[in-house]
Amino acid sequence: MLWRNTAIISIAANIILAGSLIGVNINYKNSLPAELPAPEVSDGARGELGIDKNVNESTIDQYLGRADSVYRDVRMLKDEANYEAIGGDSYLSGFVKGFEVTPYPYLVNVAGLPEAVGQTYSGATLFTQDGDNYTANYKESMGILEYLFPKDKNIFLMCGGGGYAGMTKNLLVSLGWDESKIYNVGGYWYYEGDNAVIVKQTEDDKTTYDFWKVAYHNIDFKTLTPIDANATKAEDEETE
Amino acid sequence: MKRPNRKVIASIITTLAIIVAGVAAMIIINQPPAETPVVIEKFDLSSDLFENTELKEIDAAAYQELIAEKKSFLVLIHMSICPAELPLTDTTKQLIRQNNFTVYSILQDDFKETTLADSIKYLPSMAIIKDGELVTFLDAESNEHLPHYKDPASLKSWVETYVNL
Repeated sequence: MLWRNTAIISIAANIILAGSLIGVNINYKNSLPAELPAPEVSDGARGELGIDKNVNESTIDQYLGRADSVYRDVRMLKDEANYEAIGGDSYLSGFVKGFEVTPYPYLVNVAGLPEAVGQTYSGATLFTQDGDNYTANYKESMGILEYLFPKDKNIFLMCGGGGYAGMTKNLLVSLGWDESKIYNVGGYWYYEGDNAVIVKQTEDDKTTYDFWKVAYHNIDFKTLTPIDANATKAEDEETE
Repeated sequence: MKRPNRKVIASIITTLAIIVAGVAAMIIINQPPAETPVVIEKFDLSSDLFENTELKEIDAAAYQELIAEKKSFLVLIHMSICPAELPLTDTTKQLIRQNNFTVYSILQDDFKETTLADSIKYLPSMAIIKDGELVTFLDAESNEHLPHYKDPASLKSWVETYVNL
């Protein structure tokens, strides 16, 4: 009788133990970040901007908060271009949680805006683009870029519609970054996940912007060391 | 050795036959239907669109009014916040100039307030509306549609699949 009871208790204990181990294993697997697919450009017009097919506005929530990655939104807080002229908004209206703002127009000169909106920021930039070539304007340019976009991390890029993010990826790849670690996630405007941080507030027809919510990387060009005429010219224009 | 009962053999054969018939039926049922060629009936745009040659900006309320009036028209949906927007706006302007008619355009914020947003995920895009109903639209994730974004002749060819220009 004793042996029988002992056997039953032993079997029951083993079943509970096995169940617990399975449960712990499932919970552990669920707590791991989603496996990151290799970058793959979308089809169609979105592919022209370099927006990723798998890691994009619809899926980025699965890849947030990774220790092996940095998250950069490359829009300006307020773009000097007059987007109101075509019904838009020159201010950053929101971003995805964890993305730090690093404006593309401070990295490289921007051209090709719609005629109606005029010129965007045209002051000093870290680099000058001429075709596919990027030339550093300051001795510190490459160091700053490597700090903002660490080469040993995955780099997730966003902007409003995916354009600036694609341009940033082009810049980095041209300057030697590993293409397989850089994702153009696309545009905040298409984001419908659970991690939107709303900056633009409208109440009683009055609009304000909570820029204090934004982690922002400022570049003080006046403290940098110009390399050539490009930077000097840009600084002069900025002073004017 | 005792021979198997004929009734047993008959019942086994009957059971097998029923199983085979069932499997065959499932296979036939699951076959995709034979593709019938899609016949697209081309239609005319609302006549008032040929009174002017312009890309006419409208808001969500104006769009809903056109839908309520069961108009037939083209509407360009575009973004104002991305400097690297694809050249669909320019391509559309060329289409307008070449064919002397009006195409409506709507910005992303207004677009989100319309029923277009139920079908169209990414911008820019162009939608073709017949009698107030969405017929089709340019898909920003389609390689097949990519030339329509850039080339006025290609865009015209796509529009003329549905519309008499």
